Amino acid sequence: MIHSAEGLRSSFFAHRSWLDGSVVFDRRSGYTHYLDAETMAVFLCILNLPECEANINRETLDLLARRIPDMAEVDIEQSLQQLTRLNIFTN
Amino acid sequence: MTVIRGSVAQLSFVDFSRFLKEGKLALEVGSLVIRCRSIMPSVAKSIYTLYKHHPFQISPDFADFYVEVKAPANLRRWYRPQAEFLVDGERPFEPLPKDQAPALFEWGINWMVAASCHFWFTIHAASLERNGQVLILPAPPGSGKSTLCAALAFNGWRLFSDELTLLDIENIEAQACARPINLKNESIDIIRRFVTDAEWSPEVFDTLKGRVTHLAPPIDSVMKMRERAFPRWVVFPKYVADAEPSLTLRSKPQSCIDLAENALNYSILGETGFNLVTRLIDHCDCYDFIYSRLEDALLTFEQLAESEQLTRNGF
Amino acid sequence: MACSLNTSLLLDVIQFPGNLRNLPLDSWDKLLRLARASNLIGRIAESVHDQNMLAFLPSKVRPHIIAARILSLHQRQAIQWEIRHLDDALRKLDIPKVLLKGAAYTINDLDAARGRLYGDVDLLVPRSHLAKAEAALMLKGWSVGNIDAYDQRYYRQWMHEIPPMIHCQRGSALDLHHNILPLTALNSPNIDLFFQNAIPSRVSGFAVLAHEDMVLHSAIHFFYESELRNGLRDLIDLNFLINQFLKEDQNFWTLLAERAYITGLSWPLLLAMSMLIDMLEMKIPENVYDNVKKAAKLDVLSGVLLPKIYLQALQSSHPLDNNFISAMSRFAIYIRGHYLRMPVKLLFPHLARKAVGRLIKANNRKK
Repeated sequence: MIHSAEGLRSSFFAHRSWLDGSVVFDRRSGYTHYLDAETMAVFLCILNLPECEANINRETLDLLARRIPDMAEVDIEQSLQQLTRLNIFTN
Repeated sequence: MTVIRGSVAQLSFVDFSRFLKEGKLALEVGSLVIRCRSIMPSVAKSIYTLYKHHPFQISPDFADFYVEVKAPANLRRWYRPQAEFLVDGERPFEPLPKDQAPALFEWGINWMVAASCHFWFTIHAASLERNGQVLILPAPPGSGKSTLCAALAFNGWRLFSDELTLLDIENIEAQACARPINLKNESIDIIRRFVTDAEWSPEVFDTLKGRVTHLAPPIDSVMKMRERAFPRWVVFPKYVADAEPSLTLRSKPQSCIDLAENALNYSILGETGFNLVTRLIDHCDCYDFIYSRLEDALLTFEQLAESEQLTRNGF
Repeated sequence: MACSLNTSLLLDVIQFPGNLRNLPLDSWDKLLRLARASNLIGRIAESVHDQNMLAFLPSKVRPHIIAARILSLHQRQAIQWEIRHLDDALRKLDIPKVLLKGAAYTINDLDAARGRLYGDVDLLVPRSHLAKAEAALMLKGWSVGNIDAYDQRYYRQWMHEIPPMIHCQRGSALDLHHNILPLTALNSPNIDLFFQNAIPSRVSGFAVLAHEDMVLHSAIHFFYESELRNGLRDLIDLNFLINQFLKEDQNFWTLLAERAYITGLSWPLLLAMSMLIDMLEMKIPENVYDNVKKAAKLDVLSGVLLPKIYLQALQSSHPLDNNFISAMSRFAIYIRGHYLRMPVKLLFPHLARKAVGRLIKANNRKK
């Protein structure tokens, strides 16, 4: 599955995290989201990528897997789907 | 000789009614001064009873809001009579049957605060104080929040509000209002048994809401209504028939979302709203509470307050 | 100035915000109420903020100004978000889309936008594309509110808009227009002229009316609107629009007069000018005024009586200024507003039906 995160910047968001999850405020839309701890880890990782990839592809997935070693690839993929569902990438 | 400042009870009902008719009477409610007008005797009686201990002013230089409850200027003045609520001359909502006029005064003020007072973060929740700490009870209708709130207010907790929890947007400090408590249907009977020495407005029946009435706030909550305090607990109550009391810790991120959903001006405050909610939830202990008996609830919250005291005293 | 004391105070502080600084507490008491009722409190709050005056206001007043500013900032943000959602819904259609009124002022950051607190988004599309646009919007969650068949017909057939569309999730309101005046009105302008002259907005895919047309639309709105609650606000909008456009082009008055002539809207422009002179002491070049007067071809009754009635009524939509004469004036304006929008033979049956309908609805009310 391809996700597109073109132009995503960390300045778009405010967030607060606890052990069991986080809340994220999207400044572009005014929406507030709840993310579980794993999805938040993936999200932060993506925000910290040197340049936001136009497409999150196989390479990115590998990168994420390396950066978050205690997450299984299938869980990373699930988190990416969650983030896409919330329109966090595109908005 | 008429007193121009003091508490409502110091006025005779005759004087009070006259000032209210002339639109000169202003009630101090928390930090707000609300100037009121009504020529309806039922409204005069209700306010006189329910706001007995509240301070009043006559024709102050400045009032935060001007409110009025009156009959509409059309057919509905006589045919199936109605009452309407006005704030600053505007009609925010549809009129109600005339016998609900006193309740309309209360609901109108709730609306007015929620719609205009964005110098507060307003949450649809009850709030009460004990030992300088505030308990916030957000709850959708049917959770038993009002019954719980009334019981707590007359058993060791100082009432801040039964409906509108107000937090300062600079530092999340809670502001008390000590206004009458709105009760419906069975909770009226429960609280009548539970609380002995209290003043009530007459009951009304509405086809949708059922039986409705208001209970005057305890005197000490009114006396201290200008004393603010910081939130300490956010508890989401749920009445479940025959349930044993159960207080369980809640996920903080999920509590942020749930609290935001119960906040009335969350989206209006934008990112400030987000920061306030996260700050509040971070600062407070968050729980779910399931119960059936009020006695159990009182005990649970008392224990919550006491253990907090113990912690602060270094145990 | 021929205004009542309280309206004068409000108009004065809107135009000269510096005067807020030393206002006594009891003046604030009246000012805040009138400003709230006229939807101008946001404007006052913005001025207080711009001039760093908050600390100088009485402490009891400060919270209200803070609250109004919060609302005004949110409104600005909300309009921008809403237009993004509209873009998402309508982009594929490739039709002309012209933002009107508050949304237009906000999106192009005009002076008239400052301090707006509430508002629907008004969008103008060609009549031939109206059904398509409505369908595309419904796909993305907008729908016409709960209105009975008669009122729906009133809106669609006789007014210049479909009933307001509410978004099911956000609760925001959208007014979709295909003209800027009702079809049955006597002086309905040719809407193509406005589409042709439209200029780009700061959001690609959306246009706004040309400056002269923006002013003319505001003038129309002011006088053809049958509810006066926002009359004072509309007058202020006109004031700020004209002043801003004048700064950008000294010839704006002449251009405005010419445009009014071409579009057949000299009549509302003349009355707008009269009100601006009367209530805000606006300086308008005499020759421009005379030209517009000639072009408007008014009879004496309308030219003299209407501004006088309007002046009374404008100041009297608030209990602070209520009196019997004002009530009569309000009634006259209400009737005239409706007369101008619909042929007389259709007018009275409609009014009667509406009153009875409301009574029936009340009896059967299901919340």
